[in-house]
Parts: sequence; C-alpha cells; structure tokens
Amino acid sequence: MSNTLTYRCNMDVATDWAAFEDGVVLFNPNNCNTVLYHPVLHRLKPLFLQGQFSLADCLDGVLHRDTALVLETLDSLEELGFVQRITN
Amino acid sequence: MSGCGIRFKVGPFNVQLKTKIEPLGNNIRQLYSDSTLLDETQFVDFHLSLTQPRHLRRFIRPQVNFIFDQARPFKPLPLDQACAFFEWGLNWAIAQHAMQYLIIHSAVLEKDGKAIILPGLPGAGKSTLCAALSYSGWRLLSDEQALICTQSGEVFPIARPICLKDESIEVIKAFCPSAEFGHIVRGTSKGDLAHIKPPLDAIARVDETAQPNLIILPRYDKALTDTVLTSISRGAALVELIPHCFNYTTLGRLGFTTLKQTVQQSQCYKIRYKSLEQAIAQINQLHEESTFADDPQ
Repeated sequence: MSNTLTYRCNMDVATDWAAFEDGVVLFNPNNCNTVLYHPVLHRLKPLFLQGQFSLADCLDGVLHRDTALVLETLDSLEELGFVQRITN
Repeated sequence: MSGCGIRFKVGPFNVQLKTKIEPLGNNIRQLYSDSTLLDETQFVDFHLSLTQPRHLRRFIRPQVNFIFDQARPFKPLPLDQACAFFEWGLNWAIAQHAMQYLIIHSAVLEKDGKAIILPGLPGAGKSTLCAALSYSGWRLLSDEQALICTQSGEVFPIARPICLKDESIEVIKAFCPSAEFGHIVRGTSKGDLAHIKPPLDAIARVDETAQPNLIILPRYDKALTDTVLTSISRGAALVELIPHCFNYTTLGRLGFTTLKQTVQQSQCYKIRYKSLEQAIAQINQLHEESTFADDPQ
C-alpha cells in the first residue's frame, strides 16, 4: 500500500468523537454507525481534525509503531464511511 | 371516562384517556389516583382512547383497540389485556413523539439529586430491581423510559405504574408488602403482568429532575449465590447503551452527543443478582462512593 494514499475525513471530530479511557467511540451521522475503536485513534485525532491526511501522516502520527493496526483501522473507518479514500 | 375522558399529568406530559371499558377505568383510577388531574383548558400531548370493536367482536372473544390521534397503530388485543395495552400504547406514543429527550429503555431512580439508570432488555430483571429500590429509599423516576433532556442532559421523571411479570409479582409482594397492585393481566405475549402504583413521593416530586450518575446494566440470575458487580468502561457502556435507545437513530447526532454526555458523567457497571437485598446494598454503596467521594474511574 502506498504511503501517498490520501483520505478525507467525513466526520465532525468536534461532535462525532467521544474519547474515553479505553478508546474512542465515533458517530457517523450518515448512517448512525457507531464503533468503539482501539486507542490508536487518540493519536490520529490531530490528523482527522485537519480534514485531509495521508497514510504517511498516519504512520508518522504513531511514530511508525502499530503499522498493521493503523492500516486495519483505516480500512475499517473507510468501510464504515468515516473516512473516504481520495487518491490511490 | 367517555365524553372528554380523563386528563392527567404523566411526568412532563399531559395525557387524555377516553374509554368505556370499566375494568380499565377502575385500574387507571386506582394506579393514577395520586396524579395531577387536568381541566379541559389545558394542552394535551397525547390523546388516547381504548375502545371495543363494533359487531361480533364485542361478544365473541371480545377485543380492545388502542387509538392514538384517531389512528390505530396496533392490531386489537383481547379485552382483558386493556390495562396492559394502555401502558404499552402510552410507552409507544412517548417513544415515537417526545424527541426533546433521548429515551433509553431503562428504569431510573434518584437519590440526593443523582440518577441511577438501569437499562435492560425485557426479562433482565430491571423492573423487579426498580420496584425494590423504589421501596428502599430511592425515588422512582421511571420503570420503563429514561428521558434524558437533549438540551440540559438532566433526567426527567415520568413516574408511572411499575410493570412486573410472572414470578416477579410474588417476589415484590413479599419484598414490598405495602405496594399497591392493580389487577393481574394473565396470558399476555409477555406473560402474566401486574402494575404497582408508584410511591406517593415519586408523584409529588415529578417535576424534580436529576443528574445522571450511575449506569448499571442489571441481570437477574437465579443460579447465583452472591451478587456479581463488574465495572465497565464508559466507551463500552456507550456502545452497549445504543441498542437500548428508542430514538437514537431518529435524533442522529443529537442522540449521540446526549448519550456521550450521559455516559461521560456516569460510572458504569454490570450487576448480576439473585438477592434483591444484596443488589440494593451494592447499589447503595456505589451511590455513596460516587456521590460523596472522588471518581474512582
């Protein structure tokens, strides 16, 4: 998977984001999907706030640890409509 | 109760009921006798009537219809289930129309201004625990619906009769001998049902809201010897609560933000219980710790 892969965030992180001690719950107003995620999402929040970000940004955001988890998380977020892939 | 019917206050709502079914009228007069009656000039939120169909169904296996704003949202039920039909119908009317609240399928009680929310699927034992708590120093806010204001986050009381099923009826008769029961409706789709009149304090203070403080998912388990109390994270609790909300999807983002706020200001647990006395003691201890000490979570 290319690190230039770019995503657009479809959620309003100010209102659709609930951070708790064990993870983050997201709300998708388009379909009311709500998912409890791994704490890795905490570390990606600044990128979501930007509205648009690349896979490289995400990997930098987690200091290149948990790479597999980041990829898996992005796939799930895309599948549920929280983010949208805009370049490939 | 025919003509303009009876108009009375049910929590934050004004309800009008018209019926000529005498056992239903008697049950309402008994179970709602402490509720505030309204006169004909006051606005009514829900216009309900329960009527018998015309023709043969008046005489052969008689039935009752539930009518809301001149529409019949449900198929008729056997006439002897009219009392339960009124309560179910009113639950439905509130859940379908009161969008100023996030409505959680839950019992709710209050002490020291703090609310305990007990969500649960039918049969989980929430009404039994709710009835026992309401006769053990807690104020009943609701047996069935937690009304969380989407603006303030407060829980609004809607103290109505508590619905007990099957063996719970005898359990609560033994636990709360002073509880006043309506008549038992047998053979409904949910089993045998009986409603108990809300304690007078719950009706007298029906305008006093409370702040969410504890969310406890109860589960009655007769195989247990001791009560099992488990702390759950707020994130997990939020996800678990969503299926218990009647109007979460309808409210959309507002439902999410209201539920998020409710969970953020609460401590969350699961309780599996057999003994009501033990469960109440555990809940009282949690209340004391969470109300008068620092948040341990």
